[in-house]
Amino acid sequence: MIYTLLLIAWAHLIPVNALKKNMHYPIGSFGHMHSRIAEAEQAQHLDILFLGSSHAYRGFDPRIFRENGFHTFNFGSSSQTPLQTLRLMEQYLDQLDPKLVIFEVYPSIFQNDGVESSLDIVANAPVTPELLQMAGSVNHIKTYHTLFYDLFREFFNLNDGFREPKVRGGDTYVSGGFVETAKTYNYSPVTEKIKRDWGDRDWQIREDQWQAFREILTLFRERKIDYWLVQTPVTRAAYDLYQNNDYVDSLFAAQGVYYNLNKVLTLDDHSDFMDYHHLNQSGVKRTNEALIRLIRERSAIPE
Amino acid sequence: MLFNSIDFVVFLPIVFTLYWWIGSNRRHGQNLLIVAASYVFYGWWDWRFLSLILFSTLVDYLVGRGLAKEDRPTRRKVLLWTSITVNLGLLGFFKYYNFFVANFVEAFTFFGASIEPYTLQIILPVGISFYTFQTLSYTIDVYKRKIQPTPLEQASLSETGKDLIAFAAFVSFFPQLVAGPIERAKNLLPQFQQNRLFDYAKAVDGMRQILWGVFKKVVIADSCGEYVDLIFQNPGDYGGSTLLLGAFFFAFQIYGDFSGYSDIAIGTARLFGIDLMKNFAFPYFSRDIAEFWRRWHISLSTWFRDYLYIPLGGSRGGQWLKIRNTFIIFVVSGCWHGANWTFVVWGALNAIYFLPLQLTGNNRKNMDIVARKRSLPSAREILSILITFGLTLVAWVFFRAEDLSQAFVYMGGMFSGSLLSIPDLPDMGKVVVTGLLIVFFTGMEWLGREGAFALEQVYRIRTRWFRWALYGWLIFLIGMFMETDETPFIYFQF
Repeated sequence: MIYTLLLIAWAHLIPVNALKKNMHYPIGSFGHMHSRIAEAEQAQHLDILFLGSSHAYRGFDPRIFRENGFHTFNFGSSSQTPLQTLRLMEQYLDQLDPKLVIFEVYPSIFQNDGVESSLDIVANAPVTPELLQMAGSVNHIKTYHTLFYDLFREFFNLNDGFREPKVRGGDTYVSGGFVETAKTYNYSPVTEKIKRDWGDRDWQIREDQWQAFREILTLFRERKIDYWLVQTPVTRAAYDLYQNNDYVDSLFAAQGVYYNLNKVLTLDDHSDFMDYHHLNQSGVKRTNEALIRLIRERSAIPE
Repeated sequence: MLFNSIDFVVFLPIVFTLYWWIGSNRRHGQNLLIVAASYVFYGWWDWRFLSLILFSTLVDYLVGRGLAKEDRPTRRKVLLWTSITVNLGLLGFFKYYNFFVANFVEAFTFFGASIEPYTLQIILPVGISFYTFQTLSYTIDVYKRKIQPTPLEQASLSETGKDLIAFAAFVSFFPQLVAGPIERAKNLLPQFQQNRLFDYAKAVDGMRQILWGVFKKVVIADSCGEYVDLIFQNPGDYGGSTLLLGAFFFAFQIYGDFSGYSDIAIGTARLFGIDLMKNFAFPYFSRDIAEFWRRWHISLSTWFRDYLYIPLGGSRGGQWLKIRNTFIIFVVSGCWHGANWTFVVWGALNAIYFLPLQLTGNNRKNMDIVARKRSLPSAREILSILITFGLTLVAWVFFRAEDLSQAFVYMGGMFSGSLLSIPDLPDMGKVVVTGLLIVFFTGMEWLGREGAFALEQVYRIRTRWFRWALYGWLIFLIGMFMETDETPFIYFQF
């Protein structure tokens, strides 16, 4: 009882994030998940549904696809891992009814514990049984605290007046789930510190994430929905920091149609990226056009 | 199994319920449960090493029996040395084999010779240094006739079996099996040989001590550990003030981690009606190094005092003998922590701190807790505490460093011109919060310094309402600031 009261009071009244180590309520934060969820409630009969992390919501622009005759929705969110994607699909897949799913599979999401993304979704999506299941599968005190606080806010309708701004820190939310950035990447060589922090290592696939991933693919197969697994490009410098890219490619290729666009496209580390591993609008345009060519070549979407 | 794991949260209530369900008048059944639970607790980590505990238990039990029947001094000595050789042999092999081989090779290389070392991939069995010393204390005390061996002479086979179980419970008692306190047979063994009554007040006190131990570990130690790991990984990347902050955080990490473990162990034992010895007594309020060592890892310090320092002659004899014995006890204590020269230097450094006090006869000047019956210390006491803490801080750098060269890089960086700069770490807001948690923790320790542990005193002087609010607050802080990954206790590696 004391714990509960303290938790709510602490979350509500303490403005300093550093004092809330195991509590974070990122409503309307980076990634525009609040707006995306609101749009997802209305979206249906899609040609293409995009899934994945920030590589997805910053990588697939619905406007470019619309110009080419495809009705799409981008359901990517910050650090979204298969643990979150699975619950989102259980809740929304039948309503969205896509002909093709393009699932962005940056290996990082498979070695992530899924906490950051769970907070993003808990704070921005309504509480549903799927959300509770997702919190349980992440099983982290930070997620539980945030969920508990979210329940309190929903119970007292404290989020009713919330309106997420379309523009935030150089990012603009584009209808259809995409986030366009005005940022450009101030390229610098890979320093020793970055190498130490980031690289010369192998991707490590977590068992729980891989299991959730397989369940997501089963959902698609059961509904006879085609899916492509895609890695959007990252800078060459960032890509080369990991040693087992070929092994990861073989894992994904065994699960269905798979394109590692790092091997299909040659982008410029300076002008096509907003940071080490996110495309900017120039990179998005080139990547999306290449993807559309592939979709047409393979007649991936029935007329 | 870690105390700070979900597994233990499930394990403890089950064992507790079964233990008291068996009943106070069936102590042999309770002992058997303790042994079984302890073996599960240990085997959770690696079941293969259970055989080592079992072997140690049987050897010392049989040696004890042998000593009971034997009066001839030579044969008694043989029995004693059998136990010492087996126990220290196991410890030496698992803990020091590769260290000695590596240093042997280095020495040969230094003199121009080249030899192919034969090293082994040895996993150090968790807790081996603790239970080895505990069983040794039994054999040595029986040898010195300080305690009666178990079982007593003329015991029937059934009695012998029951006493073997009691002895196995003494060796493997799960709350203190892997990181102490290192119990003495004369304190712990008799408790397994008599009926235990459930004492509500004792159990509640145990819960309170567990709560405080968990707070120390998962809030203080783990929060500090985050920065300690970062800074000690690449000390060359940081300025003097940041390195000083790293050493400061390590001082609280090691204290919170190890004394937190001890509090959880002692509190858990109390739930089973068992009293373990105190292991920490607010060491950072010490006014000199001698006092610090009376308050830090008490069970190990007193073990070395009783079984090494005193047999060597202690402080009797001339000055040189005193100096020799002091160095031996501190360096051996350092070596006990691990096979690394950093621990040797850490031990030697503490000996250097200690010797002036001993040689001037001032090592027993501060026997009582600081500022007893007073709210605040005097300015002189504050200064003494700060100097003592500063000395331990320097020694901790050697304790934490991966090797001596890293320690010297760290020390060189710390005592450089940048010592007076503002510390530079990522997310300074979190660093400040960690500092605030340390302030709260130190305040609580100060208020409770006259008790066995901080919360004990708070309980005695406050109302029920205040008490429950405090428990709620502590549990909330644990929930809000804990690391969710199960971080192992530092002393498991020793």
